[in-house]
Amino acid sequence: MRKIILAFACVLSFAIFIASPVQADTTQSTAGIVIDGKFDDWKNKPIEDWYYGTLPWISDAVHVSLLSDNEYIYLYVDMDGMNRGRGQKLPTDNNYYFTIGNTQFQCNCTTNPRNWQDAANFGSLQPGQSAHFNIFAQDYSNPAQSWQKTTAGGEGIVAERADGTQVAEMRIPISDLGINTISGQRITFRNPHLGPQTITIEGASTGPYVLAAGGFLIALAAVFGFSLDKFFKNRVKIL
Amino acid sequence: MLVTSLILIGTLIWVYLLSVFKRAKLTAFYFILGSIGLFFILIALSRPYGVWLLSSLVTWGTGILGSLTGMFSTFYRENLIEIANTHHTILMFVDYECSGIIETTAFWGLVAFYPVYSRKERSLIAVGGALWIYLANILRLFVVATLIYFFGGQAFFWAHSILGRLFFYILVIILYYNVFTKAHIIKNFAGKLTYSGGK
Repeated sequence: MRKIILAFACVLSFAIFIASPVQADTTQSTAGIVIDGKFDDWKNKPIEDWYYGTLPWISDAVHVSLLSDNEYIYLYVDMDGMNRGRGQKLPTDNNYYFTIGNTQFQCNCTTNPRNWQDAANFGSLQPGQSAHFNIFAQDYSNPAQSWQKTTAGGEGIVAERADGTQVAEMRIPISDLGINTISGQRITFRNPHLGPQTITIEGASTGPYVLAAGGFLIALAAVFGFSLDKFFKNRVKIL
Repeated sequence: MLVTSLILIGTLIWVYLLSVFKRAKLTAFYFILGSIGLFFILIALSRPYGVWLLSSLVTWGTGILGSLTGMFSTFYRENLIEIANTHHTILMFVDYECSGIIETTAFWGLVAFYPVYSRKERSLIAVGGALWIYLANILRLFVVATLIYFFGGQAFFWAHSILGRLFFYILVIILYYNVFTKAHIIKNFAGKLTYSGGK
């Protein structure tokens, strides 16, 4: 009984500990990312170099990052170094493709929330200027579906540096794509105007419940073995 | 606050039922209720700090192997393992189900109420088992990342869902066998356990 009281005291202490009003969201890979046009929150995130050709020179690479959490898909595109006749402006066409599970979404950036067909003209930005834009998405697996405007949090910011190169960050709420959860799903991003490369985010579950159940059954079999041993020993004594 | 209240109420009911089974000397029921209850309590308590800690530790540990081999890099604050091929980058996210927290807490729940070991043995086995699961998980991720590095993103399903899990399952079942089944066999045939220094 003393052991039980001790265990209960420990659990109670822990419960009080977790009841403290501390908000933690540290298990998200997107922790700290804010769509504010400052871009410094991407510093320690995995950023890939995308390029065309077989000789990847870093100066020719576009820097791309893709992250996701339970609410949003985040994308970062830095056109810095892209200077071989391919332009330095952020592509504003419909070539942002996100594949979530088996569904592919085609996204479009625009600065005109009233008309998605009025694609954003980021080319008119001046060095030091930045512009907000909206994101539209459609189910590319189902071309008959009309474009759906991503509402609430579907937003992005593009900024132009002094050297004319542009950098952008954006986020798309998964609920606006008609998806309830992206937990355990494969998410892939590609944009052929940035490079032939792709980025994929995958969960890496161990299948833990199978193992936990397996361990429980193994231990339970042994415990019942003890109980049966005890039962038969007692029976022998009685006989 | 609601979750905390539920944990507290659940724990109270759990403790009361445990005391009933203990007094009634129902060993098997005591074990079942005790291990399952402790598992759920530990799981509830592990969010978010326990999950974050273990995910970061697993990512960090995997990163050591990655930097030694040069095949992949890790971001332990973001719990990401980055495996880059020529034209394809895979970011493996070490999340709740990948961190090993469920296996570890399940193991602790089982060991805490397994009716063989002394308190000291339980503590040592709990620590050693958690370390074993942690290392097995790191090796699993290393195997998965290595296969993706050599065979590309299209190998992810085979590497992760088949080979990686099989590898991990074998290592964890070896642990279960040594802690639970072997202990039972030794007790049956030798009449006592040799885990407590042969006393």
